Amino acid sequence: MISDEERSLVRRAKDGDMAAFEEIVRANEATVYRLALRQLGSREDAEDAAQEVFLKAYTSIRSFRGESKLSVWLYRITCNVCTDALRRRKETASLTVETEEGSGELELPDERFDPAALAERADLRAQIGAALARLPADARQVLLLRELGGSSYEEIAQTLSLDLGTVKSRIFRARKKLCALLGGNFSEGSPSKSSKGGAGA
Amino acid sequence: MSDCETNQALISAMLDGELSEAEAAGLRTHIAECEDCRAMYQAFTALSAAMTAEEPLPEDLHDNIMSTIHAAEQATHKQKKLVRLRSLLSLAACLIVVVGTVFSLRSTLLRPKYATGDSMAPMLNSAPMMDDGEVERSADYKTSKPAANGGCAFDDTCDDSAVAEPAAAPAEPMPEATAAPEYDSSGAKALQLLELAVTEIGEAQLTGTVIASGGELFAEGQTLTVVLEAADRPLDSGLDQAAVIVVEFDRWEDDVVYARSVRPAE
Repeated sequence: MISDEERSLVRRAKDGDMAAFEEIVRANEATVYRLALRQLGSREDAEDAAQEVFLKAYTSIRSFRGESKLSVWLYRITCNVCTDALRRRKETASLTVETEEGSGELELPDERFDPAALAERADLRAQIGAALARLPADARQVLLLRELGGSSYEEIAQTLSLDLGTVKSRIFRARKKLCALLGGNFSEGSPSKSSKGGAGA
Repeated sequence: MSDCETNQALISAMLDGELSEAEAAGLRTHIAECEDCRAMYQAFTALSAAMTAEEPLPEDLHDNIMSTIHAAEQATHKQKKLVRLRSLLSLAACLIVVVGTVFSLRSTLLRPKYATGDSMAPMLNSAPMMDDGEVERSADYKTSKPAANGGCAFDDTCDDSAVAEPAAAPAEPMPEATAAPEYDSSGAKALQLLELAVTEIGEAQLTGTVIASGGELFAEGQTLTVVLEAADRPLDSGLDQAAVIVVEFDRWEDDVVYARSVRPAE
């Protein structure tokens, strides 16, 4: 829920207070940019997207009703802007491996995913970017909203108009696929060892 | 899903803080015992750390965002002005109906405003564009008739205190004595309003009550300078919600005056 401080900031911005809107920009620009960068894969495109996001926010701030956090609203705009940008580029099809729900499993690299080795890779950022680009757009969005936006499942559900179960399963699948793309062997197709006891859930 | 797969889905949710403490505790017990789930837990943890590693921001990100907004704001403002001006000028093609009493004045100075509710308060009505509800209609305008005399075109609308038309006496005298002028008729105020009209062009000015007028409106092609009260919304400058336009007289017909054109006062 929106805080009193945020509500006051929004009210000022709605009244045309540019300083208040600039404060909103400062508080959110880094995350918006990074969300866009991870979705679009290009710094230039991400910067353009960030500008577009805040321009849209500026022109439609009056329609923000404060039913969600301001960041959730901005991330929704970001996702829409990025989706449109990808559509325009007509790269979505080539970036997307398959649609969600486990169809068309990725071909797994042989090496096992090793967190320590992964952390040492100098080009880790680029590799993650490349792996993210190979995720289906909807899986990528939920994971980015969680990891970069720090949004809760409920907020993501609100942002993308999904139910909680879908958010939860998409994030899990996105993580599994990313691990596989980055060198893991945790896909459904890999040999599974037997379970050694039930979880407490 | 297998037990482990179910647990791995829960690991994902646990890392996101979406499990209750009891659920998380049970899952941690399982992770300690299960190699696959432990490896998954470590992989997901490392992945989160790698993904949230801060990406450097472009140095000019903030400035560029704000520049975009400022530029759009300015463009919108200019566009609004153009649209307003165009909308007003396009009214030359529209039927402008001056409802009510129209003052015919010799003076080019502005006249005082008449008290609210004054039945003689003149009004300008843009029939095709305006909401009648916005206009305070005067019942008296119905009594207005085209002048039969050759002096004042509108005998009952002539202010014989201001216009030396010797024709028939007005059907109803102008209540000037009781009206509290809101705008003085001095040149200074009139000029100020006229100047502002240039920058305050908007359709709002066409939906208000005429609160003062200057110029003459006797014959075809002559113009009447009208100060209008913006009834529907404040003007950008908030200047008394008033503005000035020039109405080019066309004809008088059935109690109303039709304007050939309307334009901002210069």
